[in-house]
Amino acid sequence: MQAAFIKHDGYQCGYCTPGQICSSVAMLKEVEAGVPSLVTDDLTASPEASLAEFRERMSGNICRCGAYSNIMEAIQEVAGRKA
Amino acid sequence: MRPFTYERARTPREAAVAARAEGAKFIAGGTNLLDLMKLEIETPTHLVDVNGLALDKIEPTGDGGLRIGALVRNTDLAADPRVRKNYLLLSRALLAGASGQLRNKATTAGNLLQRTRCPYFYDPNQPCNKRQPGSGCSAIGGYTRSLAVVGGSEACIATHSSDMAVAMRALDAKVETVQPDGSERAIPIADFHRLPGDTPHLETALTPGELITSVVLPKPVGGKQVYLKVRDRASYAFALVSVGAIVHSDGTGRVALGGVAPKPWRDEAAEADLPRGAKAVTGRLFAEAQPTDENAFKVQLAERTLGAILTEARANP
Amino acid sequence: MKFDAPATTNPIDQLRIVGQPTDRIDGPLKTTGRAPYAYERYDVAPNAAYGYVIGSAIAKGRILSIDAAGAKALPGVLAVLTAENAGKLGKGATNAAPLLGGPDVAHYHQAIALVVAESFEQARAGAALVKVEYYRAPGAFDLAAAKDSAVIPQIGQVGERGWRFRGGLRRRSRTPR
Repeated sequence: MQAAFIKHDGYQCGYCTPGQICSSVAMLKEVEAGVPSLVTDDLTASPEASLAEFRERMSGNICRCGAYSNIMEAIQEVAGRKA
Repeated sequence: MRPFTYERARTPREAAVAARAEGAKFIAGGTNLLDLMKLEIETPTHLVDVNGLALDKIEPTGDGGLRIGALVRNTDLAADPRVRKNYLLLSRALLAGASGQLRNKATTAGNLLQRTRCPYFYDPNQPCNKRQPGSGCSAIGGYTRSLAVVGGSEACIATHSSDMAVAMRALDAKVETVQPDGSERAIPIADFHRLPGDTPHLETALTPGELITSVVLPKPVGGKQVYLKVRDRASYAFALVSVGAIVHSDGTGRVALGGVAPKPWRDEAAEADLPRGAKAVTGRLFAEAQPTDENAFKVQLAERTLGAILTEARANP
Repeated sequence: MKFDAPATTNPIDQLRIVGQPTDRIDGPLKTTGRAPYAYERYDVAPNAAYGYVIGSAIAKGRILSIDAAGAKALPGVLAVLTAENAGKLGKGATNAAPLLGGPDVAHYHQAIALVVAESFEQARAGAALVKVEYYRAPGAFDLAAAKDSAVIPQIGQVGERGWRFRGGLRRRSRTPR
């Protein structure tokens, strides 16, 4: 995840970056473990590893510089690699 | 932060005894209390840490219901297969609240006990009858967009911010407690939160030292269970209005509202009007409403949100 | 600069540096939590103190007194700065109000004191102990109430801060210039 953040430039000032990385890693594990979220359509099934799920689950990490789109790219790359 | 002493309780009774003292408070996840302590809105002199108590299980009750330990974290409660299957409204409500980080730490009991986010409660420069009884309510006549349209008083118009509590109210939960003398009781959720009246600083029915040990849900009632939370952002924001509804195929059901009152807002008599549609129900729920210019939109928003739920329920039972 | 001759090739066209997705050199530091922010530069600024701002509790009026004795008595608190003891205070070119207000208060939460201490928590605790007495003057906070007394500026009129009024939305030219 750290390497993906560097590759996709998922930061500007870097102040939120450690938290973004910690949350991304943990969040992907939660998706894999079947923990549901607000956007999970069917609560009797496992959540999808979708962009909508990633966005909702990362909503506790705020970035004043607005690096969100690159953060999402980094997360998607790591999630894709894991799938 | 003011200096305080700290202990880790070993049993619920021990915790209750320790918390009976003046200035003592329980701490579990700390996701509301710590913030308030940093702002010196809460100034406990003694913290009783209850995290180690064995109150973190979800177990079936004898009559087909579910007993949820006070320390069960919000994430775990929402994800529990029995809750997702039989009390879907509760899962949906929990998942609509806060962020993943907060849900992982926040507890069932703490969620019920969270204090209002009224901006005047949070501003020590402004008089507030919750912070200093008798000092006045700065919200009345101030910026009221996020505040109560019903259930308030001349002393306070703060709302209760919990989504979980709205679901619990619709599901007829009971709050089980233990007192310092060891006696136990079960408080119906409808009676758990107090309306402000003349005493906004008294927010629940709990007596000094009384510790919530679990919340009990009766056996499942089925139906289509929906929680819709309407807010300024798609996530990580409190409800302007929320609707927790259970709709049966015969058109009957239950409705509880969040974001509009000092406690989850439900009227079993109003629910009898469900077959007649959203307007009939919210008309009764808001019969005593005293909205301001800034928050009057909540009345119509609640009606429309409930209407959307009913329409969808008819189309997809 | 006049563009009156055809562009020919220039060094940027080689795309050896500009145009390449080069990793930022601060990336490895920021993604491993090792990037030092200004207040973490213990090597160049050892033993830094921390400040906690006290904002005015009123929107308009005057500070009558600031009693910092309680704050100063706290362990770790080094000083409480106010407009009275901070020396001559300037105002930046783009500031509307002095950065340490006092005795006049320009707006709600205007910084009127800074508690300086050895740790952030000590400074914050000190701030809670500073007692400020105010004279609260009547102010205008309600746009709707003031609407009838609003003045529409003339096009070309220069305002207090040297900006020229070029027109409201309705009056702007519809053709791009």
